[in-house]
Amino acid sequence: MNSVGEACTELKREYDQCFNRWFAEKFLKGDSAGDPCGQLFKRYQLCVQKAIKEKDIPIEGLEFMGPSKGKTENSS
Amino acid sequence: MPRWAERFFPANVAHSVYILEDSIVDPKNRTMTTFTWNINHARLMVVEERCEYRVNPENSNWTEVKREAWVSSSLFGVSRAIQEFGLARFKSNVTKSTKGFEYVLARMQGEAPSKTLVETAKEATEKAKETALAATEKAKDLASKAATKKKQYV
Repeated sequence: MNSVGEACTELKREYDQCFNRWFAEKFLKGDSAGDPCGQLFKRYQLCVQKAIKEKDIPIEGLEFMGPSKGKTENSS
Repeated sequence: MPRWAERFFPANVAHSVYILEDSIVDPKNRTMTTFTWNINHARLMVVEERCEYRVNPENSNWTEVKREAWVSSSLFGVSRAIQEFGLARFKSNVTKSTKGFEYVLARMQGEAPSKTLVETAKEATEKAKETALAATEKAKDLASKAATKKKQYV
């Protein structure tokens, strides 16, 4: 999948590759120590942040796991 | 955006819709939860989807998916129509996304698409609920929540 910023797609690919390897070979096997992809992530993140600004994507006030809280209380 | 809505919101037509997905992988409890929603055109309509993947308690070879969605609109006067449209569209698209999901899984597992997923999805309980949020002012248009639920076995 391409990055939201066209210029970031290659950086994304590199990071994804690093992450997927770490995720499958380390994290899922219970080894969460170390941060082998941190540098790649930072480079990719900077690129995406620039793209978000350029495209005017409204990211202010966004919260983790949803736009509004209290969605998990069940309706069933 | 639906065709009929384009006429009323020409300013919204040209723009892309940006979607954000957050996910939590919990290796201890063996669950994965994703939350996906649109972050622009939010006044027109917001669709939020939450999927929870976990090990089926009766058969640990199966993965169970609970999919929930909420459709809301705060557009004066037409919010109900938009929400109903969004809900109907979500329901029809969920069938397509299930097929896509199934296709990827079948390829990963190196086998022909199993019947199980489609069959269980059909049999699965599907509920749609609309709950009107309490209105504080009479003039304010009510935002309503819609939830659809599907259980699938992979």
